[in-house]
Amino acid sequence: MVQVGGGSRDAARELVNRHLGRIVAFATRTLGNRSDGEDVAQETFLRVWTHAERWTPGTARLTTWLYRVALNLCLDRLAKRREGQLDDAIEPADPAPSITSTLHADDIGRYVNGELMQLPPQQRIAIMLCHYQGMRNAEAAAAMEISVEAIESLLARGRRALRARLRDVAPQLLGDT
Amino acid sequence: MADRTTPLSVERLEALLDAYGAREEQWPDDAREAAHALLERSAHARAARERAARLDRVLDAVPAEASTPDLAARILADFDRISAKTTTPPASAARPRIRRYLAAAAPLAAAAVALWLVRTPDRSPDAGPQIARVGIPDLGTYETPTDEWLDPLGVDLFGTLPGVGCSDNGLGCIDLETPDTTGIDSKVDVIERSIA
Repeated sequence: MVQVGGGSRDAARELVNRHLGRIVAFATRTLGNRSDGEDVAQETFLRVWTHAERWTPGTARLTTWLYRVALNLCLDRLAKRREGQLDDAIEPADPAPSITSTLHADDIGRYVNGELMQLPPQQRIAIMLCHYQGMRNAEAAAAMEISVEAIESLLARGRRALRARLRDVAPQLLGDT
Repeated sequence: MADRTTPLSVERLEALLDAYGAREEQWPDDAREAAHALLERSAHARAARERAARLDRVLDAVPAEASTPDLAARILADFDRISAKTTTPPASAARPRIRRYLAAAAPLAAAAVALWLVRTPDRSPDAGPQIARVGIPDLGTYETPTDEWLDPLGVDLFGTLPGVGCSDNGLGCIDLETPDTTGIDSKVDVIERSIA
């Protein structure tokens, strides 16, 4: 990061290679589409380039800071989306599309992603950070700027809600049939 | 959080599985050992872990979409742009500033030339009264002297009002110390009212 602040393009490329994929995956899953996820990733790195000069080593893990920036950008977009939906009075999508026993893996993935998008943002983000990004609870809590107890609660509520929704419409996915 | 040596209740293990799923690397460090011990001796705990593992597998079905190939290039282009801004040498950084000053000075210079043209008297032999003759194509040419404009109001501007700064009574300046006996004050009132 210090080298990036000094204008090293090699260091910048290394940073992008190391973190871009995970930031895009996180933002895409959080926002529900790749285009928005990529915009957030680009904006996240833009902030890295802008602030690199002032980066103080040891103040926070770079990964945590990157996720925090990306997370805040995602929350901004989700808030704007909610405002837009209220303004346009868009009808919510059918929360229970038909699920059959002949679902392919891609269909299951899309369906589960749709169900994740129905969760409250904070619960969804907690699941994104811990399950998909593989963060430990303390690191995810730091990225979300909440306590470990709070992230544990968000995770538990989110996973329980998801399980309940899936049990209602697709119990076979959970092996409950 | 529980101490490493504190036995874990089934309820607490279920709460941990609800939150962190079945992958033990996600479990809190201080609960892992006790969780293993409980899982070894409790079928109920193992069933709870299997339920959590099924939900994990469902979550894993969500694909991780790869980013578009040019995203990294766009991000590095941002880096180049910002890096170029912050590392520009002082001499070349000053150039745009000079250009900005010149751009700001140009209208001022134009205004000064225009003012000079307006104020320069016409010295040709057939020049008429000293009035401004500014040709503005769209508006026509102003040719009425101020005193003619004020005449209908009954104000003899040159006969009554001194120039600004005049203080010599001998030159016909207004004596502000003595009461108005000439009606000048009332004429000034007329002018002020007409302006208002």
